[in-house]
Amino acid sequence: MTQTVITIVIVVAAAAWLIWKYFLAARFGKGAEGCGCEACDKARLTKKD
Amino acid sequence: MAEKTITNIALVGCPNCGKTALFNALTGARQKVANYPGVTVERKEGVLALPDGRTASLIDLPGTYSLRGRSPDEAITRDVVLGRLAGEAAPDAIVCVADATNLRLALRLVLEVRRLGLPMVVALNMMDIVEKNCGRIDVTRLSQELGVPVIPTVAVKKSGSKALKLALASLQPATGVNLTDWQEPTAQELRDLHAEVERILKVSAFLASNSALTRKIDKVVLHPVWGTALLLTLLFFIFQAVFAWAGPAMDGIKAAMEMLAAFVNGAMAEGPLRSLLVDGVIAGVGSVLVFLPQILILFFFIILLEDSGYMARAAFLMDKLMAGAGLHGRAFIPLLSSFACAIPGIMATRVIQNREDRLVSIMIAPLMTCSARLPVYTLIIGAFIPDETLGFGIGLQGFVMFCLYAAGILSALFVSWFIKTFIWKKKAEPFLMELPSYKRPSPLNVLTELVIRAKIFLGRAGTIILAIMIMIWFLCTYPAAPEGAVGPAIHYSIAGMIGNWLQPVLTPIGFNWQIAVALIPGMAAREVAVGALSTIYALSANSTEAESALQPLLASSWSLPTALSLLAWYVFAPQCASTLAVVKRETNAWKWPVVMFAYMLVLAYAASWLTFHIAEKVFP
Repeated sequence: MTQTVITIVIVVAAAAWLIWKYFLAARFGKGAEGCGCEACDKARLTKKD
Repeated sequence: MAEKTITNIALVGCPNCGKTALFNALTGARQKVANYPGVTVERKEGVLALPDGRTASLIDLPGTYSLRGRSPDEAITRDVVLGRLAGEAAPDAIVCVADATNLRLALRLVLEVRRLGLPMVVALNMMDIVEKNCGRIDVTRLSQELGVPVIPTVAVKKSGSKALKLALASLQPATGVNLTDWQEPTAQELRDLHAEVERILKVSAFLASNSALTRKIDKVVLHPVWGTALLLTLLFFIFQAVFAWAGPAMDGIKAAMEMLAAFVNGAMAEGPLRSLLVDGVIAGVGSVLVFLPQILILFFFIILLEDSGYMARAAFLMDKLMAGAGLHGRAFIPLLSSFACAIPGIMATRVIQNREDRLVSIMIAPLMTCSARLPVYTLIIGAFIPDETLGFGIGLQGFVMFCLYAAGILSALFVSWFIKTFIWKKKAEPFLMELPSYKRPSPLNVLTELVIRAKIFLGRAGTIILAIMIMIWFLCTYPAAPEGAVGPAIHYSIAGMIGNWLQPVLTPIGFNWQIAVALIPGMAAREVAVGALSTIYALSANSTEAESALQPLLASSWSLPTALSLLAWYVFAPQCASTLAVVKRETNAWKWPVVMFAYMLVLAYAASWLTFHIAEKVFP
């Protein structure tokens, strides 16, 4: 029973994080684009043009 | 009214003059330092603490040869310096970084910037190399001729930064400067500028153009035949090393993962959480982590080539080939960046001024083999290509890897040639670039870059890949098999249903339902497909097979034509949602990511189909 509850929490948390990362983050200006590497982050955060 | 002080300083200089290293030395920040031109394509700001206790904002601007702004990044530098960029205040003072080893080129920009009338200091960088090459620059005379302070620096050793800060602290704010009056210099003004540069050089500098050693090395390295042969040999050696050197470290990680799985199996009672940890997290994430040594070895060589100054020579050698395919010479750096990841590569295409040239470079950037493909390639090569030598110490596995990288490059050149020949017919523009002197790579810089690469890889493994592995496990586990079901439970799961639904489309190219399922999460990040395969096979294997690692499992489950077909798929497949999102943003239109997805999908399917059917005939 405990294993089931913890598993559900982990799966829901992972799903929520992925939805945030790929579908919502950009809408809130947090940036979902890029592969997560330093070069992408820099280019995204400093893009002015 | 408060007295006006200097609070906003801009760092301006030609590409590859050591501007970024100087920025790091002045602000304490860290940024990539490389030897090829055009590495700084983004604005970067830091806080500069002046010796009198004041602080000023220091902006690191993209490298430019003049203020005329011929490419998007050069235009940003011009607009910031002239106070034209929205939301960006005009600088109160300028640090113009001049490469002392290439003073003729640097002085043209210095004189152009000086005409603006802003307070200015010239940082004469790489003075150590000038002295080493028996050159001489009369800094006092140069300062007199230019009418601004000139400070010798060696940015990579942080030498001269104290004197530079002192010079900046003593600058007085300008009065009556009107930057809106600035106009692009006319042809006559440019000629006058060149003449002035020559005059200043004559009275203040004696420069050995290049060291005798650099000239000797370049005679071979830049030779059309020997240089190209050397480049191919180097690349070939690197891919051999990726396989030959990584073995023990990979075995160590694999053993650690197996021990961890055994520990969790022993410590926990059977249940969904144990299955999630062992079959999802450890099998999935662990199967990706195991490729960390190979990725680090590859980047070790790339960093060495960049830092030594060889990469610029490689660009020079490749220019003719690239021009033949209709690519602009400036596309080399974006395409080279795409070997790490297509996203920074696509963003780096901003250095290309012509829109059509830039679009072609964006379209072919994902065909360069990014590091996320490496786990997929090494998994399949390790499982299906025998660990044999072809003679002369050349390993077959490394040779296949070399061929896959070459296939990516050749297909990129072909696509570019096709577009430039049949769609956008335009003559290639000439390409000018400076070749930096050879430098001994700094071990600290190499180590720092490797740590950054490791952190990026582990960061992805611990976030995106972990989250997707958890979802894959869920999709592979639920709904559970009905009472009295025969066969592995995964057949009845959501993933099993998706795989069976997709299988008819993918059967002609030799893919089974497990591969079909793994390709879907691979859209988020290509290397996830490896983890997904690991989880799918861990959940569908019987108890004996489950003990095995993924490579022998694949070797016994797939045919050789299927494995080769999947390799061909990954050379072309548009499987990266982030890349498509960046293409949309950079082109500001949905049309181009849709075109990219469609053409790459067609190429991938066609290549896999051909590979599968030819391999079936050759290896029945």
